[in-house]
Amino acid sequence: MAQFSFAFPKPGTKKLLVGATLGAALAIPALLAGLLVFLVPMVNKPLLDAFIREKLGHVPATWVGTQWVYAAALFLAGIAMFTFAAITGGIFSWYERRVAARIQSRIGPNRVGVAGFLQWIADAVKLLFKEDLVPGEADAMLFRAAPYFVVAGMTLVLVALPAGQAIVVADLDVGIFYILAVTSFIVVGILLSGWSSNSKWSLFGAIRATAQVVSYEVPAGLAILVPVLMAGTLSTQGLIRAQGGWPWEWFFFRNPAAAVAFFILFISQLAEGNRTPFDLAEAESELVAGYFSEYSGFRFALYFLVEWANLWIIGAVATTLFLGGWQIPGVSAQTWASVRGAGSFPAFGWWALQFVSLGIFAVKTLFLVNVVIWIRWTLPRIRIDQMMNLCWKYLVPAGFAAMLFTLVWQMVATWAPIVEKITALVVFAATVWVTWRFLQQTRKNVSLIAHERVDLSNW
Amino acid sequence: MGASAETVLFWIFAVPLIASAAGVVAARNPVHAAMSLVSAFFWLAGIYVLLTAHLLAFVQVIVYAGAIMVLFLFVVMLLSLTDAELGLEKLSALKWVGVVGAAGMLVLVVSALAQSGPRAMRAVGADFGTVRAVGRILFTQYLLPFEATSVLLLVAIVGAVVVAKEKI
Amino acid sequence: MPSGQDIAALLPFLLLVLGALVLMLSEVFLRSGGRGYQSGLTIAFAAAAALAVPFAPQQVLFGGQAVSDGFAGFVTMVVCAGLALSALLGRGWLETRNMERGEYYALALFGASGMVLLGMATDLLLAFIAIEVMSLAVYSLAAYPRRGQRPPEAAFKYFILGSFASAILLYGSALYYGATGSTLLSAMRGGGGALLAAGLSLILVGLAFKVAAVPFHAWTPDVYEGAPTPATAFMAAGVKAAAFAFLTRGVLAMVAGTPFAVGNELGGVLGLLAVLTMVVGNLFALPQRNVKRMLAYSSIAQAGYLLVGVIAASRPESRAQGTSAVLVYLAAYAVTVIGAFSVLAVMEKREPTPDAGSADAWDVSRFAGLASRRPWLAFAMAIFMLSLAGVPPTAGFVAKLSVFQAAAGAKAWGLVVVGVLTSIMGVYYYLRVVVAMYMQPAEMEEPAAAPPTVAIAIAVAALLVVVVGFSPEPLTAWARAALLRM
Repeated sequence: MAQFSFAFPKPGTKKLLVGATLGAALAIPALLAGLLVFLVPMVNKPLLDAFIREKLGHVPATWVGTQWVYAAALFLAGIAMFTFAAITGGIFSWYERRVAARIQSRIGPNRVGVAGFLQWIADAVKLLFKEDLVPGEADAMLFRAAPYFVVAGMTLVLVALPAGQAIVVADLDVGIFYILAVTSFIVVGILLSGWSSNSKWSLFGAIRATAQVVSYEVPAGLAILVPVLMAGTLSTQGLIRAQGGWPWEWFFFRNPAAAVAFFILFISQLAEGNRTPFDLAEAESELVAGYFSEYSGFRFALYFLVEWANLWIIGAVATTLFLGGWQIPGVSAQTWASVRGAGSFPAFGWWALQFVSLGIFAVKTLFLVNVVIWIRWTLPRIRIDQMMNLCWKYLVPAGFAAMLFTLVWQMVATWAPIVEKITALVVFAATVWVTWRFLQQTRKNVSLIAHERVDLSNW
Repeated sequence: MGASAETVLFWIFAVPLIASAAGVVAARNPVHAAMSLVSAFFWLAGIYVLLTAHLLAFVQVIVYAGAIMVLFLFVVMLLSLTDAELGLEKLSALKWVGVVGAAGMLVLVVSALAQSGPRAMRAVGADFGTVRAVGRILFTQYLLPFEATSVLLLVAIVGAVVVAKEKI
Repeated sequence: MPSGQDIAALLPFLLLVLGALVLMLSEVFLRSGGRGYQSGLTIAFAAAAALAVPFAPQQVLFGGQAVSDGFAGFVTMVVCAGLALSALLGRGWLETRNMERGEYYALALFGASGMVLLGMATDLLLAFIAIEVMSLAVYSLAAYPRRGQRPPEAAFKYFILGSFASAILLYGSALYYGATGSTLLSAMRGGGGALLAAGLSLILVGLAFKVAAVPFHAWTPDVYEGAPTPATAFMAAGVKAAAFAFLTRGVLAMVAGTPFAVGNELGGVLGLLAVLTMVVGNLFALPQRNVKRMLAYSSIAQAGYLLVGVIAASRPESRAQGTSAVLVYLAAYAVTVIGAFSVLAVMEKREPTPDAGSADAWDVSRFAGLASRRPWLAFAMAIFMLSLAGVPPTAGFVAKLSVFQAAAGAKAWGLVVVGVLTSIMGVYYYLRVVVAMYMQPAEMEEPAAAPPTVAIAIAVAALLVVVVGFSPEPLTAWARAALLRM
C-alpha cells in the first residue's frame, strides 16, 4: 500500500498569504458561477419582457426603452462570458504550469500565493506593463489587428456554448455549426500575425498553424455530425436535451460510432487549438514561438489568454456533444418545468438547479481539461507529415465511417430502441471496467517507481 | 426585434461592408486587399443574419472567411509581390477604361433598381432560414442542382490535381 | 421527390459521370499494362449515354430546373459523338507523346456530363453549375500537357477570362432573381422592367463569352492554339453545342415570356452580335497562316452563323425552322471541326516541344503537297475545309443552308446577306489549305503516319460529313422532330 505524504499549506507560510489564497480560491469560482447563473439566463426575451412589465412598469411592445433593455442585457451577458473566459484562462495557466512541474518532477510557480495560486494575476499585471513592441519591418496595422481576430474567435464561441440548463447566451438554431464557423476567426488572426510580423519564424508558424487548423476542421466537422445525426438538431442545447443525466444516456455510450467520433473530435480539437502533440505552429525548439514570436506585452498576453481559454472550450464542446452536458441524473424536462413554476420569474428551486447543472457541466469539462493538460506534458510533439497523415489518412476516413455507421445505427435504434439501451449499458460497463483496470495499473506502477511512497509535498 | 433596431443594425453592417468592399479594390497591398475581402464577408454574414438566414450567414463565414480566404491569403502571403511585379504602374490607360466600365455598370444597375422601385418586405414563416427549412428545400426543390454541385466539386479537385502535377 | 422517371431522364448525364469515375479508378487499379482500354471505355460510356437518350422520358425534371426533351436529346447526341471522336483522337495523340492517363478521359467525360446537363437546363442556377462543370473540365484539359509554357498559358487565359464571364453570368442571374423571384427561365413570364433587362443582358454577355461571340471572343485564338489538339477539338465541338443549346433555350424563353420590349431589344442586340461575330471572325481568319489559329477564328465565325439561327428561332414565324437549323448546324460543325483538328493533330510538329517554334507547328506550309504523299488524309482535310466553308455537297453546306433558310423565313434579310457574304470570304482561307495540299510542292519532311485510332476518327468524321452532305434528310428530319419543351 502506497504512502501518501501531503502537507498543505507548507509549514511556515504566512497566515495572510494563506488567507488571501484561500479567499481567492473560494471567491473566484463563486464569482464565476454567480456571473453565469444570474447574468446569462437574463438574455431571454420572455424574462426580459417580464422584467420590463413587472419591475419597470412598461408595456414591452410599445415602450421606447425596450430595445435598450435588450441591448443592456446582451452587453451584460457579453461581459459575463468574457470575464469568465479571461479568469478561467488565467487559472488554467497556473494550473497547467503546476501540473507540468508535477509531471516533470520540479516545483513550478510557488511564490505568489500559496502554491503560486495567484501567479496568473501577477503575470497578467506584468505583461500589461511591458512595452508593446511593433517590429520596424512589420506591417503595423495588421500586426496590431491580428490578436483581436484571435480573441474574437475565442469569445464568439462562448455565445453558443452552454454551461447549464438555461446558461447560454443564445441557443442558436445553428449552434454547433456557428461554433465551427466563428473558430475560423482564429485562423485568420494566426495567419495575419505570422505574415505581418515579417519574420520567418512567424511566417512558418502561421503557415503550419493554418494548414493544421484548416485540415483538422474536416475530421472535427465529421465527428460533430455524429451527435448531430443522433439528436436531429444543430442547437447546442438541443443536443444536450437529446441526452440524459445518467451516463448510459449520453451519446458517447449510446452508439459505438459516437465513442469513436468523440476521440476523433478530441484529437481534432487538440490540433485546432495547437495543443501538444500538435503544437508544431509554436514549436519553441524550431520556431522560437511560432506565429507570435514578435509579440510582446499585452498582445502577447492575448495569445496566451486565448490558448488557455480554449481549454475550457475544448472540454465544453466535447461535453456538450458526447457527455450529456449539464443534464442532472434523474431530473427530466418536466422536473425543470415544474420547479420553475408558473410565475414570470423562475422560483428559487430553479435557480438552485441551475447551479447544480452548472456544477455538473463544469466537472465534466474540467476533467477533459485535465486530460488535455496531461497529454501536453506526456506526449512528444509529432512531425508535420505525421500530423497530416493522421488527419487525412486516419481521422477523415474514420470520421466518414463513423458517420455512415451512425446513419445505420439510427435506423436500428428507431426500429428497436432496446438495442440502443443494451449497447449503452454494455459500453458503459466496459468503460467503467477499463477505467478501473487503468487506475489499478497506475497505482501499481506508481508504487513500483516511488518505492511505496508517493510524494505530493510540492503541491 | 423592432424595426428601428433592425435599421440601426443594418447600417452597422452595411457601411463597413461597403467600405471594406471598396478597400478590396483600393488597397495597393494584396494582403490588405484580401483582408478587406475577409472583413467584407463577415459584414455580409451580419446582413444575412438580419435577413434571418442564420444558416447561410455561418456557411458564408465558415466557407469563405474560414476556408477559401485563408487559402487565398496563404498564397498571397507566400508570393509577397512587390508593386513592380504587380504591374501597378503601367496600367493607367486600362485603369481608366475599367473605371468607366465599372461606373457604367453601376449606373445601369442603380437605374434598373430605381426603376423597379422599392418593394415591400415579404413576411417569412417562423422556420425560415433554419437548418430544417434549408435542408428541406435543398433535398426537394433544388435536389438536382445540389447533386450536380458534387460533380462540380469533384471536377474541380481532379482538374486541380491534373494541373498541379509536376509532369504527366 | 425524385421519381424513377427523373432518374431515367438523367441517365445520359449519370452515365457520363459514372464513366468519369470509372476512368479515374482505372488509373489507380489498372495502370500496369497499356492504356488502350481507356479510350475504349470512354467511347463505351459515350455510346451508352447516347443510347440512353431515346429511352429518356420526355418530361420536366425535379423542381423544373431541367427538362428532358428532344432538343436536349439531340444536344446529348452531338456531345456524345464529339466525346467519342475526340477520345479516338486523344488516344492517338496522347499515346505518341507518352502522356496518356486516365485523368484526361475522366476530365473529358466530366466535361461532357456538364455539357449534357447544360443542354437540359431550364434554370439559371443549374445552368451555372453545368457551365462550371463543363468549363472546369475544359480548363484542365487545356492545361493537360505540362510541357512548355503554351498549354498552361492557354489554360490560364481561359480560366481567368472564363471565371470573369461566369461571374458576369452569375451577377446577371442574381439580378434576374431579383426581378422575377426565381431562377427558372419560365419565371420571365411574371417579370419585367429594367432590372430584368439588366439581368438578361449580363447573362447574355456571359453566354456570349462561352460561345465566343465577337466582343467576347478574345480568348479563343490563344486558347485553341495553346490547348492540346484533341482537347481543342472537344472544346470546339462540345462547349459550342452546349452553350448554344442553353442560349437558344434562354432566348426562346425570353421572347415567349417577357411582356414588353425586352425581347425585341435583346433580339436587336443579338443581331448586332451575330453580324459582328460573322464579320470579325472571318476577317481575322483571313490572314492566318497558322491553321490551328485559323480554325479558332473560324469557330468564332461559325458562332456568328449559329447566332443567326438563334435569332431565327426567336421569331414566332420561324421558331421550329430556326431551332432545327441550330441543331443541324451544331451537329455538322461538331463532326467537321473534330475531323479537321484530327488531321491537324497528325500534321502538327511533334517534338521536342510544341512551342519551340510555335508558330510553324501548325503552319499551312506543313500541308504543302500532302495530296501526293497521303492522298486520303488530304482528301479528308479537303472535305472538312469545304464543309467549314459551306460548299456543297458537305454537311457544312446543309447546315448553312438551313440557317439561312430559317433567317429568310424570319425575314431577317440583312443577316442573310451578311452571312452569305462572309461565307464567301471564308472560302478564301479554307481553300488556302486545300490549295496548299493539292497545288503546292512538298516542302517539309515526310509527315508521320496517322495512328490507327486517329485514322478511324478522321474516316468516321469525313464519312459523316459527306453522307449528311448528300442526303441531309435524316438529320434535318431528326432535328425538326427534336422539339423544344419549355
